[in-house]
Amino acid sequence: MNCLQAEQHFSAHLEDEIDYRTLRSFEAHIEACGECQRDYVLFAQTITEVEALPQVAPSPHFMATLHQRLAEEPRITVPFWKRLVYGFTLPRWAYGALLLVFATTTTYVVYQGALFERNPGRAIPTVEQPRQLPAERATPARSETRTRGPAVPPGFAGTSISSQPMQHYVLKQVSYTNVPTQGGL
Amino acid sequence: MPELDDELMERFQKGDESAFTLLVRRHQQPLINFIARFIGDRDSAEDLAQETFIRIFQAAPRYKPGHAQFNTWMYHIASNLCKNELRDRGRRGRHWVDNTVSEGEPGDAAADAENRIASAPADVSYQPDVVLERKELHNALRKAIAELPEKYREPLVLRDIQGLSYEEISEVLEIRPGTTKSRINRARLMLKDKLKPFMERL
Repeated sequence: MNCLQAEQHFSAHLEDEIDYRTLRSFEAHIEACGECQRDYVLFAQTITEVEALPQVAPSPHFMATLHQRLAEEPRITVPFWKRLVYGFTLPRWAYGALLLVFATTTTYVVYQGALFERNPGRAIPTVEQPRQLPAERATPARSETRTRGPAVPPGFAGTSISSQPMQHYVLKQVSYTNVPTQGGL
Repeated sequence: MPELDDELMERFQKGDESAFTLLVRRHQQPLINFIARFIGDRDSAEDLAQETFIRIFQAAPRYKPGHAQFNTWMYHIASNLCKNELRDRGRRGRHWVDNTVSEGEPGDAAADAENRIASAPADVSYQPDVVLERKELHNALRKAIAELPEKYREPLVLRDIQGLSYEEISEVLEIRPGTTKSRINRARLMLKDKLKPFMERL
C-alpha cells in the first residue's frame, strides 16, 4: 500500500469499518511512513474539531414567524380517492399478483363469451343441470322419484335394490351368501 | 418516553396541529444548523428552515409513516432548497457571506460558550490566548467548510456536524453508500490540508 492508497482508508480505519486484510496492509504502511502517521493524526483532529463546532441556534422569533407564515399558507387537502390510492400500501409483488388475478379473470370471461358466440346451440353443463345417463333419460319418471344412491345400471333397473339406500344393499348381499356373520359384517 | 416522529406525523395527519409544533421544536435547531453550515448564512438559514417546515406542513397528507424516516425526508427537502438558493446566488453573483456566528448575540450557542470560557477559573484551556486560538480555529474551520465543493460539503456536514449515518446520508442525497463514504473521506482530507497550519500550532 502506498501513501495515496493509505489516505483513502483514513475514515474507514477511524470508524472501524475496514476489512481485516486492508487493515493489516494499512497499519503496516502507517507504521513505516512518518508522513502518513502525521497526516492520520491531523485527520482525526480535524474531525474532532468539526464535530465540536458550536451549533447555530434559532432566533427567538423563529417559531412566531413560522406560525405567521403557516397561517398565510393554504393547507393542501388531498381528495378522498387520492388518499385511498396513496394510503393503500401493499408490497410491489402484491400489486403484481392482484394484476395477474385481474388479467386472468378478464381473459377467462372474455374467452367464455367468445365461446358462446361461436357455439350458440351448445349448452355448457352446469351444476344445476347434471348430465343424465341414457337409461335415466329413457325413464324420466322413475329417475325423478330416486333421491339417493348411485346411477342404476340398465340391468338392475326396476329391482328393489335400486330404490334402497346403499347400506341396506350391502347387508342384503352378505345375507345371500349364507356366511355366518356372528353379529357383524 | 417521547413520541416518535412518525407518531407525531400521524397525529398531525389526523388534524392535531400541536403535533406539528412539537416536530418543529424538535428539529428546528439541527435543521437551522445544517442549513447554516451548508450555505454559510444564518439569516437565509432561518428562512430556508421555515420554508422546509412549510413544505412539510403542505406535504403532510402524502407522508407515509414507516416508508422513509422523517429525519431524512426533512433533510432531503432542506438540501434541495439549499441547492436552489446557492444556484440563485451564483446567478445573482452574490458572494459568500459567513454570518453563521453573530458575536455576543444572546441565545447564540458559540457566544454563550465563549462567555462561559471567559468567566471560568484559571484552567489552561480557559486562558485568553487559548480561547483566541480556538476562536481562530473555528473561524478557519467554518471558512474551510464553506470553501469545499458543494458535493463534498453537504455529506460532510450531514455526517460530522449533524451526526447522520452513512445510510441516512445516502437516502438524503440519493447516492450509493459507497459514493457517500468516499465523498466524506475526500472532504475530510481537503479540510485537513486546509487546516494544517492551524492544527500544527495547537
